[in-house]
Amino acid sequence: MINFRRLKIRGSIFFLFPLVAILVACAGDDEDAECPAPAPIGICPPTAGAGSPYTFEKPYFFPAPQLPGFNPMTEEGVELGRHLFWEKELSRDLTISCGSCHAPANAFTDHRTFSPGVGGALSRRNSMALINLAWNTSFFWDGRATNLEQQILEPVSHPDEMDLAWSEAVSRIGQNATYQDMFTQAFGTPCVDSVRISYAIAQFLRTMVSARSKFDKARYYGEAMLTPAEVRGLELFLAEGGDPSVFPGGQSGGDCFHCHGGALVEFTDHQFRNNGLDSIIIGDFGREEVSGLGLDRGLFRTPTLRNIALTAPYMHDGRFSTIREVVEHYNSGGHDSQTLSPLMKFPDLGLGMSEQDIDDLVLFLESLTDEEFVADDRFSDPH
Amino acid sequence: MLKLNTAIYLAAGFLLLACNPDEEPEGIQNSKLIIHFDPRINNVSIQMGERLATPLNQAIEVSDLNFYLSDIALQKPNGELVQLAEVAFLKMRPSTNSPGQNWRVLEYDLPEGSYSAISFGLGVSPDLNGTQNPDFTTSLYDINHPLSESNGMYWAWESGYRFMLFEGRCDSVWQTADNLPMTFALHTGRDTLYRVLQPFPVNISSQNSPNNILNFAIDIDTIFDHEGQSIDLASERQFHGAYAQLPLGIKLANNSASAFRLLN
Repeated sequence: MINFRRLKIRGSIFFLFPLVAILVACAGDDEDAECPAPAPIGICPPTAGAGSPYTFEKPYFFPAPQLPGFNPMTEEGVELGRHLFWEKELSRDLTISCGSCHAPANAFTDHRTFSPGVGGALSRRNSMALINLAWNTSFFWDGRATNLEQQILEPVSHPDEMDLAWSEAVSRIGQNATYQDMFTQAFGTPCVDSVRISYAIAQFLRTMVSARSKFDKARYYGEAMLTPAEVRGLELFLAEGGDPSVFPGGQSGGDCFHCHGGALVEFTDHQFRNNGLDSIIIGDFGREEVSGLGLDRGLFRTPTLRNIALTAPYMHDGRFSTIREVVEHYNSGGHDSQTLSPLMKFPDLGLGMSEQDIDDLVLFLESLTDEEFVADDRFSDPH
Repeated sequence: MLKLNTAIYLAAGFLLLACNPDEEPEGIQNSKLIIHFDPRINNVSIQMGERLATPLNQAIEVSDLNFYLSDIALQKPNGELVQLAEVAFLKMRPSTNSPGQNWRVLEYDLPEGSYSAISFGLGVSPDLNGTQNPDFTTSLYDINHPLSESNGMYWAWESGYRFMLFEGRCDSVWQTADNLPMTFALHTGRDTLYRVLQPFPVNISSQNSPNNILNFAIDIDTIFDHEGQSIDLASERQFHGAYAQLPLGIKLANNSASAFRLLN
């Protein structure tokens, strides 16, 4: 019998070990298919088999999600993750939790250009919406994390965010009797480490599925109808940009679907693009900071447009306050630079959409708001 | 002596128990077929973002070249086809995501036998493209599947998938200045632009080697010019499947299909 209390060594270097011991846990071709990313190895015993399996409710029109085999979802794991997501003990001064910057009412963003961390330090980039993460293939604006478990490890210890050493985070959580019970239920033993914390939060985040917007109800469920203006906005969304009398192939549209999903399901192509925000890129090189490739300068992840009306301000630096400003940016054609996406076809010229076009396109984008998702009690603060 | 025998038996027993029952008996190995794709100009490998000249001496910097291959099959000397994959997705831009995955390489278990040719189509075959299936949805494919929406290649329900995505910066003339002033985005798609390539003669056998390697060049110069069908970046920088531009699309599809060249 292991005495897990003896493992709770405050500040022990052992608790730091999982953060650096990123090993490929998958072995064999068959397992690779279910385990597309490296799984972190923690100090706690393996978790598989503990808890009651969680039934992931996939909207029928979505593809199969990315549920890693190394972190099977359980009812208990999800509930533990929810508690940890809202846990202010995971910040140095006990003032903020993950939910502080990812509030449900704002589609899990915080309505700020940059998010204040512990001590008022500001994050470098705009808080990203937490929507349909089970389908994501990369995380953060620059995609530096390739799975959710890996992503979660960063904000807790980041000095501009929660600023808490993982050793201290593990110690705090491990000394809480309620959490000891919850970890036992979720993972089979009360052992706490950074990996288990990240696994539980990842399980919780994967339950955040948004697929019941007005648009979805109209298109996929037959429960609503889009207005004529919203339908026209959808048509503009799906149309090529450019006046056909000037640009062959042009359809006088908004050119949105190239990057935000012609399938009208995820509303992102999961790629990285420079969408013409600046002609000179300074300060934040985006994807280049991960890849080291000059080709990737100023490229950022294409965010989903689901719940976009709730996630202002927009872009990686939160420069636009309204959806209309965003659409006007694209209508302007954006600024040319050496890494501008070729799908921004008319830099400094513009798409030539009318004010009415912009109004209708905005209305369509607002129809992507999922009120049931943001009001879902399963995601609220349990503390 | 008894102790020594006991030790030997124990050791032998341990070794037997330690054997993985799933492993193939010694002497029989699974043979692999590994197919590399290498974009080139003038038969020299290119780097993404490198300044290059097209056959019309127009300056380009290729940032992305993604494409689908369908019905990848090996042909036996008797003509029998052995399918390796329904569809595969490749991209030539280096990626730091997907650890361990090289998007320029396809790898398959080589079915037992000898083969004299390999064949494939450029694009998504009409059977898979979904345009003729009113019930088609990208939700059929999880995010690890080549046809997943997450690969950013699905266009719209009308025209199906982009077959090839070819993007970068360019100028209408050759130039060496730091910045090229224009962009190009040439995307094939639509069933009419799917191209089945002539089979490539090969000589591979599952008996010869555990790793059978095929190297394909993708001749970028051929994409821009083949048999007098040139793409002029002065006026032909965007194609996204519009019927009004179909002549450009046909030229692009034909040239691209001709750009694949087996090196070994």
